[in-house]
Amino acid sequence: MLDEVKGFQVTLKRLFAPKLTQEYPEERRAMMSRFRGLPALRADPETGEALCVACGLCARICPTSCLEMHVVPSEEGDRELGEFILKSGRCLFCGLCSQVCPVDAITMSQEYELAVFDREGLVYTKTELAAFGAQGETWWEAGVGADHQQTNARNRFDPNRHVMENLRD
Amino acid sequence: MEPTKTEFNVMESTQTDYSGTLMVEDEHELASGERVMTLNMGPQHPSTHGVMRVLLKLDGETVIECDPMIGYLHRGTEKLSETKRYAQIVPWTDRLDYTAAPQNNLGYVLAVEKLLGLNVPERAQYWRVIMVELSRLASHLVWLGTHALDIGALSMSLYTFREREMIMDIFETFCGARLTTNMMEIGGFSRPLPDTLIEQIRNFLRVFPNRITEYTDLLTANPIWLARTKGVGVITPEAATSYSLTGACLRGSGINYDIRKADPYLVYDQLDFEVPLGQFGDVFDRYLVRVEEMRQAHKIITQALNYIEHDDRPMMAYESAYVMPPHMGTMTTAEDMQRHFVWVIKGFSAPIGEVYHAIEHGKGEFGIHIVSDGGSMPYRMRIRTPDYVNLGVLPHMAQGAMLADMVALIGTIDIVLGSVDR
Ligand code: SF4
Ligand code: SF4
Repeated sequence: MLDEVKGFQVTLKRLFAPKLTQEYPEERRAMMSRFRGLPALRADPETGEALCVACGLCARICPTSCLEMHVVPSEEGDRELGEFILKSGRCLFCGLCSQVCPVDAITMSQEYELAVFDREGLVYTKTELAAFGAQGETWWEAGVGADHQQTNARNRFDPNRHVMENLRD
Repeated sequence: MEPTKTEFNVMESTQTDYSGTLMVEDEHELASGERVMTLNMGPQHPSTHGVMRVLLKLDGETVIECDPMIGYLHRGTEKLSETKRYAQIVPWTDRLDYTAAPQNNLGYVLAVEKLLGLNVPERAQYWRVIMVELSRLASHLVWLGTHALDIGALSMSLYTFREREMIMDIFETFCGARLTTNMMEIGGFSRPLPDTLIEQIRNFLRVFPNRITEYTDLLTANPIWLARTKGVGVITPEAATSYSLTGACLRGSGINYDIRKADPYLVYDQLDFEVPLGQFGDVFDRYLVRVEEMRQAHKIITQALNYIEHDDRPMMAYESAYVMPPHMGTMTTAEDMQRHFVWVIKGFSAPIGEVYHAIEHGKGEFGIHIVSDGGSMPYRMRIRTPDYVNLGVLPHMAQGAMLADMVALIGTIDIVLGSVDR
């Protein structure tokens, strides 16, 4: 008999406990600093220039091929980024693109309200992506203290090791 | 164009084909003198946990025969994997059992690491255990909430989802996503730990034991819960083994088989935990087993966290062509940058061979079988998901059951259709 009353005790206790739910559009929960939202392009915080060097690694690792890059010759005879398109309807929000970028030019922004009225709206161009991410940190660095970055940075860096040893062909 | 007469007929005949693989004819004479009734439960039934159709043959309210029809959520993950390089497949595994993505990730990366012969640092192994056990909790909490909801304890899901929310927050802090985590990487973890992570896990560990007591207070002595679960859906130990059940469905029938004990992977052999067993193999026993598994998972996380908390060794296997070079290296040295480009653009060539690796997933044995022909993509990848195999026992359990118990029977197997259909 006593056991059966226990259930009511739990319910009664909850009745007076603080409320946990949030009423979404009015109240917004703060996303974690590492939250993976829409991929976005970063810019140099000082000069404001886009960081991307048009190497194409992000487009190459993307499991759904949703990144499209156009490379154009630059004035200095080098190559630079022409148009950069993200077809976000196919994006898995996996973060691989930003993980492989050698210059941290692409990151995962905090943008998550991505509903649009037609499919055209799911295609983001370079300017739009830059608007989302220009000021952002690299997503996995946000929320990591300086000492942590030293001690457990992505596999610790040791300039003296012999890297070529184990390379297979 | 106007459809011709024959085209129209073809469409009609496929639409009315409900026969499945059932043996009982509609014209079959029943002892009661009634006719057999064919009923479709699903594909969009709230208690089928996804999109599944159960075809039932009924004598009044008693189930004579049933046939689960699956495939509504088939996305061809296995075939898709043959066109992706090894590192690209991890995000696809999230989408198998979407209530427990880190466990799917782990099953896949362990299989690949076995193929490559890669040693993962101890610290990464402990963190993998912590994340996987959290994910086991999340998966069990979803199961408990929805299972109770199916049976009629509507408020249960509010309690379990409250704790699940804390786990989702931990995942979000750790890797940036809540459901489709893409958390594990071949070789360990390449990202540093966020500052608030350990505190968050500690907070969760502190409150969780009381919350489990709340669940059991609400259910274990609840007369309605007992009446709906005790003696329902009994699976004998013989049936459990002959249907190749794994996970709580097997242990609920009293058979002691847990891959974490039987064939330890990661660091499970260094952790102290018990494998709970059921006695009668009914729905209630499987409930008790899963609740006790939650207590054990709590114990495992506490031990692992105590051991690894102040550790600052590297988390990624390095000096290997199989893993991405350190990020700092890529940005500063030519060798690492070249390796990085090769790793991303070409992928690595895996050794030729065949591996199978199984882990104890929250739902049972989750195994990945990879056949490698020496290229950068698997030649063939087969995913053995626990709920697909466990679902096979449903027709056996349902024979002679009441129609109202079908929801309890589907719930007790703990299926997620993303994982059944792959
Ligand atoms: S997040 Fe993943 S799917 Fe989306 S663009 Fe980046 S790599 Fe592609
Ligand atoms: S990987 Fe980075 S630098 Fe290379 S193309 Fe992509 S965004 Fe640009």
